[in-house]
Amino acid sequence: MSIGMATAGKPALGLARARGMTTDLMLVGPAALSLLLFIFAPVAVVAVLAFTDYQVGASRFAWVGMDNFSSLFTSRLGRMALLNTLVYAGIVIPLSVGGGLLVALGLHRLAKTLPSVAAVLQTIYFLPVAATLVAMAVAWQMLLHPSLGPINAWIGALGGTPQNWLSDRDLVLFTLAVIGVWQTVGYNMVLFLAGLSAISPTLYDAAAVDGAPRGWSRFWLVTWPMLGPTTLFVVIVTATNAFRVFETVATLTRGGPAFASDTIVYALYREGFVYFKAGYASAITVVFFLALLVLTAAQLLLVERKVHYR
Amino acid sequence: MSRSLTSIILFGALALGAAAILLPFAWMVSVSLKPHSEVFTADFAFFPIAPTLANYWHALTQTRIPLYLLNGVIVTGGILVLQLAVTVPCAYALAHRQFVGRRFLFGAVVAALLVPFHVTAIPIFLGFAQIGILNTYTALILPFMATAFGLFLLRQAYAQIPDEVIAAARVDGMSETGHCLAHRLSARSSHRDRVLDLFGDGPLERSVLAAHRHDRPRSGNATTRHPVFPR
Repeated sequence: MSIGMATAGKPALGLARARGMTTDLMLVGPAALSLLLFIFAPVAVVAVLAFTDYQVGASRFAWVGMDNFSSLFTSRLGRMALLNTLVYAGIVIPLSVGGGLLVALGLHRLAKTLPSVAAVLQTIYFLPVAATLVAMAVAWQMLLHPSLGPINAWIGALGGTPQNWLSDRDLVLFTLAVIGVWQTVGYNMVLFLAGLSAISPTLYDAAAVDGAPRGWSRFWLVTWPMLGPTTLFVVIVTATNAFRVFETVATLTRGGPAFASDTIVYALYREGFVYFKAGYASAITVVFFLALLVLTAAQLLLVERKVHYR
Repeated sequence: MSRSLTSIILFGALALGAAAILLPFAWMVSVSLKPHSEVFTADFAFFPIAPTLANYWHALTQTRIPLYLLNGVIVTGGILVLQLAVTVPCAYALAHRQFVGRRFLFGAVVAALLVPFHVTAIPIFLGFAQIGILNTYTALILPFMATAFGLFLLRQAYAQIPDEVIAAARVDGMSETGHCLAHRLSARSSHRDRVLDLFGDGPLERSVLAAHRHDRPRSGNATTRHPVFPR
């Protein structure tokens, strides 16, 4: 990657230099301005607003120090949003990463005997990633409908107890998590497939010579360690997406019933854009952003230091 | 023998998973083809007994869905045109021109990659409310005129063009605008960028900027969604 060399014909004259600078400004200016206007300035504004009691439309505001943060972490609603997000992520991350890995391993194997079938299956698993989640959330809603949906009809036919998947306080978060897994498993599968195809076959030959011909020993000896960097990347990507969960909550439950499925981004939306408490919503935003930054930092540190098989 | 048996078991397991993945899609299509009486019935049937296209006809003629589709085209088209006009020159300059603050700007682009829209939503909403452009196409298009992701991908693609090629073109009298547009090598990355852009426009973005105070989207019923009307 060439980070640049001196451009040809370095201008010697002041005039030519000024012209060059004008060109630079014209090329770079609009993009730089829009980054400043729509990314960096808003981040600064959010960081400042988080320490105020500003309400949308109000003509004045007061500094409230850490009040917004302490009410997020001590109020029942704030804690619930944080806890729900963690529980959601705690379900989605292992299931989606594990599921993606299993599907990728299976498809990788199947591709050797039935390549076209494997290709079709791969496309199916990827469908939810390409589909619009809001629309698919509505499809899930019909599927999970307590009296009209097929899920409860099948459970009833098998002799089980039909459930209120989206309006039962104890169930709703798990239902949303299952939809989350359904949506992300295909993405993780693609990443794992890429990781699998990058493993050199000679390693498997070497493992066979060393007495690990096939099956689990082969997996633990070669595949799993070689997938280390991929796995770490998949975990971090899944985690950042899980913490951002919003679409399914907004379309299916609106945080309900009784805030049982309220999550951090949905709380941000509700406080900021429904109740217009810009100050409090900004504090939620800051917490959310810091959590994402910590995840990213963890990714950089771990990838650089811990995983180096290549 | 055991090898083909493994294949069959593997296929069975994977096909079962795939069926589960397909279930919401299949149900969506099935319900869309059912007449009303079949949807609201306790007698459960997965496939429609008397399939009909009436629902599609209703959606296209009796609801505002065509308008929403048009909104999508206008907003996506606006973002596409603006983003190409703004990010392509900047990405080119970042890769192939020397100017004061270039490293700083590239650092800023990488830093901006870390900021999801959720974080900037409130200030952008407040700013747009201040200048009175909420509920317009502009509000949906403007914040996405230069994305860090687009700048980054395009810059990486431009960086792969050898400086010598650019220098040679310059000697032959090509302008900087010409450079930005002529280097087809980056076309592929550009496509990928656009496609990702189409996927990337999340509902939070839309629901926030289409500021629906009185008429928030309800699940399950598209007709109550508030369209974006330019004022």
